[in-house]
Amino acid sequence: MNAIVLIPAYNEENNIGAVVADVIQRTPPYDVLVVNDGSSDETAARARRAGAKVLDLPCNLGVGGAIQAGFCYAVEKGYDYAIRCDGDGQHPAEGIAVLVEAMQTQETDLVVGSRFRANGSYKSAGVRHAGIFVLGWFLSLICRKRVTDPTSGFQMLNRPLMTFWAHSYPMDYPEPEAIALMRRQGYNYTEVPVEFRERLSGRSSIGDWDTLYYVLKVFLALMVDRARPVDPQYQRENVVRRLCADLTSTS
Amino acid sequence: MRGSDVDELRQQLLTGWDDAYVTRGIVLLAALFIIGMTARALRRRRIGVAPALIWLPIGAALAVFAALPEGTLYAIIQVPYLTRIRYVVGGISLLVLLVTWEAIRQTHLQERYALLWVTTAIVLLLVAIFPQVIGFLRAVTGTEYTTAVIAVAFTFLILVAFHFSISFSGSLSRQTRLAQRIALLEMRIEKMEEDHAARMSRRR
Repeated sequence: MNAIVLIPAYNEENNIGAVVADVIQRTPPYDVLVVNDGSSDETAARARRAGAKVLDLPCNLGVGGAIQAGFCYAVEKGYDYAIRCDGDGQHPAEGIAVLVEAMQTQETDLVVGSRFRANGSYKSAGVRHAGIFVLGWFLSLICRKRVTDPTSGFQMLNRPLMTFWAHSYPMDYPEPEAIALMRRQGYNYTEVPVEFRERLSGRSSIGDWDTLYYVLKVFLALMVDRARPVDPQYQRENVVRRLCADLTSTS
Repeated sequence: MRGSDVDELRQQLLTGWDDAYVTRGIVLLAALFIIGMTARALRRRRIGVAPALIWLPIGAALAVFAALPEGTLYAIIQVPYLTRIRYVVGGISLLVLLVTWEAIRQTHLQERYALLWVTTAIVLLLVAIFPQVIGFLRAVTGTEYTTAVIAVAFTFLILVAFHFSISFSGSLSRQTRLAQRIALLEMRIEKMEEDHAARMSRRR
């Protein structure tokens, strides 16, 4: 399978080496691309040493901008699938096999690893947990399909969705909004249970006040997105048709 | 408000102004300091003409204020309240016009961003010259002239701020796309250089 693992990383020099090594060791030979989001530390060098390719952004764009750069790269290089995981070690490399299996067996464009569907007791702080729960409930309502973990950055997507997200992707705290956007353009998603780990080192970038900002911002974005027209050029059927036409013209 | 309370307060403050040499001296020194520093900075090209156009009138106004005898100040106070406000508003609008003009000329402030500022200044100027222009707003809201002027100015300032928010968002997303493109191109160049080096060493 022609897949690439995308890891956005901002100042993760303590984790990135282990994360990359883990992914390379535990998966079939997928390419690994670390998107270095303008880190001021050794992130890029350590990722290279661990065997990843590194896309060096000239300035800090935030997770959304960084991961979108990864999608652009994957589209440009002709990958069929992109797997996305975080650079802090929360997403176990064993989980990638679960995502791949779901992608192959189900009719779907996006597979999301959900920590809340897993049996294990994932510990997250009270305020943040409440925020995630409310968002998940609201997102499920908008998408008319259950989302238990709207903020999960552990995902696998196929080429049509990659094409759409390379064109438009939200900037900060992007995951819930991105799911609503793709759903509106006619793409489908599936959640699978994945056990997340605690971060390897360092603190999460999200505090309690950030959670409040996060929830409000995403609420506003979700409602505004509903009021925007659908972009026919990037609707699922049209993207798929274009990709098929490209395939037949090149072969 | 007729402005009589204010004038009473001013009259109290101004009584004995002719003999208040210390106060007037301090004000004059401050005025000279401002003028001197601005002139120096201007000569050494530390600041542009636009900020100088703000500071020099302030200094000049302070100097004139310090130099004016009590009688002249009283004469100013005798001028009707409305007229004085109109002079102030007119002065502000002229200042805004001048600064905007200089900013376009010198720092290449793009005209489309300056347009709202110029409109603000012209509207204020119109309101200062023809107070009846604002009569409709006063008739509807029942406010005094000054309040109505401030409401108009405030509305335009909000428009300016909103305009900047929008164009800032736009340039932020363009900056994101540019940064992504640069990173992708940089990666491609590195790959080409590596391939090139490998080919050269094989040839040798």
